[in-house]
Amino acid sequence: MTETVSPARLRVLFAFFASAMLLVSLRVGYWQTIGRAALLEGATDQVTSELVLGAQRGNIYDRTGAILATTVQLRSLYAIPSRIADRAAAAAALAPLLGTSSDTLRAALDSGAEWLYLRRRLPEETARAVEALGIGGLGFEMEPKRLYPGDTIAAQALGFVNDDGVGQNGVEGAYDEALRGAPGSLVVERDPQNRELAIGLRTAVAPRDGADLTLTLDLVIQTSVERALRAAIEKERATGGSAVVLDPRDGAILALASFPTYDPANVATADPESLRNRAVSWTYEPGSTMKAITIAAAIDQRAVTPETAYDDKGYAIIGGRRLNNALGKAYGRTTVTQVLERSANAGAVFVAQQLGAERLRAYLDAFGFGRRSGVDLAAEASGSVRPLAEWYPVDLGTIAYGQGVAVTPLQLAAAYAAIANGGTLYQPYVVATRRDADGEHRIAPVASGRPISPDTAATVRQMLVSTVDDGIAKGASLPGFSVAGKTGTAQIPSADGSYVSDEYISSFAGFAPASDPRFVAVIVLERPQSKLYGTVSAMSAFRAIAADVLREERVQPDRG
Amino acid sequence: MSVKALELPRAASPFHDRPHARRLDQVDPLLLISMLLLVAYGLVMTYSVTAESRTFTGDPMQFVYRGAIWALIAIAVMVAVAWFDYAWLGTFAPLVYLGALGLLAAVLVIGQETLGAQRAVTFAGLTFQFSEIAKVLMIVVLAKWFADRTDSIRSPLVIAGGLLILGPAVALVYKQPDLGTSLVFVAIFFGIAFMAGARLWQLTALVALGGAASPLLWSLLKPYQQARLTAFLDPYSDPQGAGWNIIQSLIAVGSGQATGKGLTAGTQSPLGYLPIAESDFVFSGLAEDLGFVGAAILFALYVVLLVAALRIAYRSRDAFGMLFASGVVAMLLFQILVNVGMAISLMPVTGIPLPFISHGGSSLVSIGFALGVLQSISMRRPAPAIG
Repeated sequence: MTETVSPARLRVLFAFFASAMLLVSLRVGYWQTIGRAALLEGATDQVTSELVLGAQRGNIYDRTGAILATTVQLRSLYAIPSRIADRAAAAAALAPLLGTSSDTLRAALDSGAEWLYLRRRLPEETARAVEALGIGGLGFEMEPKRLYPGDTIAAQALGFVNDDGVGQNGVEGAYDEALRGAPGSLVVERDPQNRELAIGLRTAVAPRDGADLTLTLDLVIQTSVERALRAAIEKERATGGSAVVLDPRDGAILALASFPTYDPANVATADPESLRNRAVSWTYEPGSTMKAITIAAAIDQRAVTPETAYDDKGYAIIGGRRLNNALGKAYGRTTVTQVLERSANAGAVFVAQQLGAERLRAYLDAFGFGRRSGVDLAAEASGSVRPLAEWYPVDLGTIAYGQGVAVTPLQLAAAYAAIANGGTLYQPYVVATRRDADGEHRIAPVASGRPISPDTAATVRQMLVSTVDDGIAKGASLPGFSVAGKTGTAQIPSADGSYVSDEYISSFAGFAPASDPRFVAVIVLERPQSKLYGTVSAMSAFRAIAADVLREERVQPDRG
Repeated sequence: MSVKALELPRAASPFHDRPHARRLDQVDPLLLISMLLLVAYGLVMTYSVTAESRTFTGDPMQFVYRGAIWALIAIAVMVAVAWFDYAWLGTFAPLVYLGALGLLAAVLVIGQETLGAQRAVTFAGLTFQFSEIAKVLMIVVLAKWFADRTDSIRSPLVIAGGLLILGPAVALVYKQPDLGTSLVFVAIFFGIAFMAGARLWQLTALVALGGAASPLLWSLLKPYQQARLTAFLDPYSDPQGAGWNIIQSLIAVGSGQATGKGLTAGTQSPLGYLPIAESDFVFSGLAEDLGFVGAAILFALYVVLLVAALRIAYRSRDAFGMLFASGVVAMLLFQILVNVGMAISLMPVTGIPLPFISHGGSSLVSIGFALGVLQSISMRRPAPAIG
């Protein structure tokens, strides 16, 4: 018996399988040509990823090697809210450990973010406590934290590092690139479990750690300066202040203080004003400390000698304006030396008139006023000396005693350093050495000019010594040492161009020992409560600083 | 009397009939050559997609060595099976059926669980997937059932009887659970029933019945199976979950382009993006490494193999041989379409191996067995009429 099987069915089966294979081939061809563009991206994107290998930020040391800034690795707590089983419970458990309310945490977890930091850079014991909770969906990653072992010491000089690891202000800002180094990178292949694979292509660039910096700052002197400045500010209830101590022999900054100040550990909550480094960014009208500059210029130009005399009537008329001495005192016959000793405004006007506006302007420029000193700190201000063409006749008189011109404490210190060191203007600097992978690089002092001759400098030094010994700056004298210096009491310009009544900036600029100056200090107090006598506090701050510096530097007394 | 090729006698029985002589000159060369090429292709792909994976533990060539051993076993099985008259299989069909069910039941009792399913039995250090062997055995049983009933094929009772035979096997495989393989059984059934001359309306009604019952069947599926079955419609709706395999597979296929990245150069398989890269998703790895050219060569080999199998069916001396060959074609075609379709987002994801290419000894040996039977059918076909 036979049964006929239809060949048609075989053909149908064949047709079916042939067309199915064709369809499948077309589909494969589609994905491999037209449809592949979007797919291909996915293939390489997901497989390789670039890891950033962080570079260690360099340390900052004071000139004796004490650590001012260093970096430690702390753990930052992050959350992946979708993987937290019970967010309310997690928030409640975390709140006491993180010192925040559970509502705040709950809101953060419910914000819809896929991933967020709950707290960055936790103290290790807190991190361990969080770990012990064993909540799923939380994780840690290491993040560097900048530590300042001295807390607020030299806060503005050092600056800080923001959350993104970028140095801001001070040395951290100015040397950010060197301190930061260069991160390395590693291109790795990952499998779907996000494990890095040791096989396959990888390209690695090793990170270059940041350079270590050794500063010219001296922790002991810095501490002394901050203590003295703070004491003066508290006593005077001053709104702010600044102090700079330089080594006049090369412009090295030994200390640099600024108030109000802040805690580098809590930058986020600090008053922005407190972050400002007033020593380099505060532009103020200096007042009588400028008389030493005016007189140095006139002596250097031989326009006057220390013995040149004029008749002091208590005022001077210049450009149709009457410029008075402080408290309107008339001194009669007064020598140029006595102009400094008595801080006679009329005398400064007299000296300036002997010199002339053009030459005064040139000397201000030579002493570095009106332009940045070039100090290696972030956010330096240039001060303000108007161009000669904008000077009214009266300006020659006022600028001679330090009004109508604006300087920074550091500029003034650098100018006094030139008087102290025999006439060389050094560019102040704060970083002494940089140590990186190539070795140690000493940073050489830069002499930016010679505004006055050594003779002039010696003459003015002597005049400033008698200002302390016999004149207005008696309060700055020290037993055993010759001290040179000048006080300054300046009116504060207001927004409308006139001066604020009965508010002053009191300052003192000086150096010691005058025979071989080892340091220059400038102390500036803003709005002291004792008004015109605020310089007394400035001088006692100077004395306190001077005593510490001379002892710290083991300077031999030059007087009996 | 000259016998028309398709006027076939019922299944010959070695008990009643003189066994047909083996004719080695009637070995089907196309089937043999395409089979050997596909086996070789499979070894190459095993090498390619496993070359870099699991490098940390053991010999990177271990998969290739094991694949080569299985290939030799499969060829040996093919030769041995071809040696005997396939009619013996038909004669012992009831025993074969019991054997198939026994194997499937044994899996449930002694099988090891991998990936959440009991599918494999380890014996003498080799891992057997009995359901692969059972597929071929069920082809024997169903071919025999329908071959013996070509007279009464119009009766719905014949179809119903076939379904009754099929039912327990499907149920046992489904219980493992192995949805893909149970669907292969269904495809074999339809292929054989169709070629046996079953009324189209009956087959259509069966499909319609299945469609109507699908909500019920759907509810019987495990959630992961449901997710996998629907994910191919829009894999990007759950890219990290059910859609992951499909997306990774598409990325692999797409990045292969026309000529591929080169053997072992693909990244999707060795890095573990493609799950079960040497088996279920081997085609994606092939498409990534060898591109469209590689895929087209594979399809061409399949076409040659299937055409050869259909030709054997066409020339078979009896209905049993014809239906067995048809069942093999149905099985291979279904597996190819589903496996490749799954890799290119045309079909739902079900774990069905790609014949010859997927790394898996049981599958290869089963195919060797099936192709051995085909060669046996070919060698014992009536000699072409002379004159």
